[in-house]
Amino acid sequence: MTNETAFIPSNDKAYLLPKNPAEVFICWTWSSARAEAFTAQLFEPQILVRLTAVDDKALLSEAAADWRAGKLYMKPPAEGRTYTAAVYARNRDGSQEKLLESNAAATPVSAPRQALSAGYSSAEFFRKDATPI
Amino acid sequence: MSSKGSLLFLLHAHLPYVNHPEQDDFLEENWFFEGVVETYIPLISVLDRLVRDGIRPGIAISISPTLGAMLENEHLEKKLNRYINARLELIEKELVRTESDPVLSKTVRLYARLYGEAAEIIHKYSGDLITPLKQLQHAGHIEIITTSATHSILPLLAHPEALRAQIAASAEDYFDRFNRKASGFWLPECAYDARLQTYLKLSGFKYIFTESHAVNFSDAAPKNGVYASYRTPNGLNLFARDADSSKEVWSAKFGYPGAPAYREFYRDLGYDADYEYIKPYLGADGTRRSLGLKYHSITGAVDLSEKLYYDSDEALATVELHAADFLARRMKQIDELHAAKGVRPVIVGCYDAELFGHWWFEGPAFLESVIRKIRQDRLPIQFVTPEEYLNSSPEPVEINPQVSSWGENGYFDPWVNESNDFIYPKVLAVTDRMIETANRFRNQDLSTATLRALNQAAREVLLAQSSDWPFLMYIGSHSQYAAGRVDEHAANASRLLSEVLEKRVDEKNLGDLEKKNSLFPRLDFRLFASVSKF
Repeated sequence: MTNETAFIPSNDKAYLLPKNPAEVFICWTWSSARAEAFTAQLFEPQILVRLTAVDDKALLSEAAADWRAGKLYMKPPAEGRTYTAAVYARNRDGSQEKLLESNAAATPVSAPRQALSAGYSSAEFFRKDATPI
Repeated sequence: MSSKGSLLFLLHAHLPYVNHPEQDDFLEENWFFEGVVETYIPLISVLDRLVRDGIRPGIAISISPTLGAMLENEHLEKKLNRYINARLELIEKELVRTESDPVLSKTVRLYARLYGEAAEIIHKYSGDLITPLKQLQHAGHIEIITTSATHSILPLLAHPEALRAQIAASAEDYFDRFNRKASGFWLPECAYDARLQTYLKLSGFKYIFTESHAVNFSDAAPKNGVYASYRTPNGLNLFARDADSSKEVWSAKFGYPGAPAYREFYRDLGYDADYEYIKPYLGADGTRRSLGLKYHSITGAVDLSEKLYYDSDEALATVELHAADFLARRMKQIDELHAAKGVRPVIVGCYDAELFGHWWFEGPAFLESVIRKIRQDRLPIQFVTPEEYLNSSPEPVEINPQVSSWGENGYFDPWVNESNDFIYPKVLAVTDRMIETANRFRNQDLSTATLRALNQAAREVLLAQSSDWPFLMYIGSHSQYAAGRVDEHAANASRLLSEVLEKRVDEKNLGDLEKKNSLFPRLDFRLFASVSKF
């Protein structure tokens, strides 16, 4: 766990998108002021991305990334929940500052493989390659 | 004969908005020309023939707002006519070249009829292909629905304002195009999450379609599975796709379209013919490309060079067998469901319209044969449109559908992966800017130029959100074009919003954008505001 400080509102943005039951996508952008702060080493270059269930703050997972990476795939702690992602960076005092918070996104639950009728969708048909069927 | 069950067919017609008036020849505009000649006109012809013979087709068609806009675009219409005339000219030469080969010339004559019919129908409706569809709907033969404004994957829109804009813009667009309110909404790629219900209801939609696991793994685990309609907690009706009937029609590997007698899609005169001979029919860059004249059959598991010539009689005989097989399977399915559950099931088949004709050349004939056979063979099964079904079905069970899509693996992997995820920071950030600016200006009296710029920025943001761009990157087809389109729309929107804020709208640039990205003529930027006009 990390030490939290108050949320710092800024024009910097983080977004959370569902991918599948086992993965979410998080991406973020920095304003030039924030990017300068990182470049000036006001924050450590390694940021922490924390995924938290909206209805149960104890349900969380964390991953580290370089502040310039701009994106990250993460495994949510449980399927079928709604999450938000927050981006933290360690400042010169050594404490973690919450710099960004994403939208909330609902993740799917796994259906048994045999129950998935998908795969007979446009993705398959349009991928029919030039080799004989 | 009274029916034991119903078939509900939904053909989803969609193409990304591709309009390049600045160029005489643009490769990706061919998607539209091919779609019109090979799918949309053949489907209109099938529907017209059925109606003429006293058979009500009773299917539903979803026409995306982007496709609708292209079907009404005069600039594209001119290019379409030129495309068809060039093909007819080439076909004339081919008729002479293949004169001594009865097998080959039979196929060339088939293309002469296909392109000739396209030219006739376009002439008959003065280039407006919405008219025959509108007439068919007005007479009650088919039901036309819509989809999100630019076919965005709605669960991937992080902002509720963007969800509302995509849905509300499509409702307005449908009303303007079809002179009535839309009842049905095709979720692009069947992609669903619970947030959509509110905005769909706000825009007046009554029903949607989902993938089967949205229903089968919902909280209620309904006993009738995908063979009945359901209702969400806020009263939105939903149908779920039936996997079996979809697989038979859809899959190139397991389904009918892969039959040896059917036309091979990938062997094309554009690659086979002598270069100098076909050069006048290639694009400005002179690169070989598909010309739509394909003379070979799938044949079997052989190399493209070993494919046999296509025989349309053999292919049509196969169509009849496949149509009979399809209906026999549906009857068996209905009998089994009736015996097991004691219900009159509805079997929901959802397909991309472009499968019929463009990819599966014999698809329109298959559809026609299936509909005719029900009458001819007096089968106790009937085609119903969604509204008809909802008007006559028992009270639907309420469920909370699961987050899902009909894409590969059943969720959102095709649209969010390493090949395309770089677009999201741009698309989402420009959406943010649009929302912020809409909030700032929503209650202000605006000059005409400012209003036009804000409305055009809203169009550009909607276009940046299209599902087609990440999908093309995912399948590795026209990836550069797709990435360029995201960049272009995000940059256009960003520039317009900056100009509005700085009170220096470049009207020349604005006029050019309005001409090029000219869909949604009534679009109001306030749809993106956080507190809307609703």
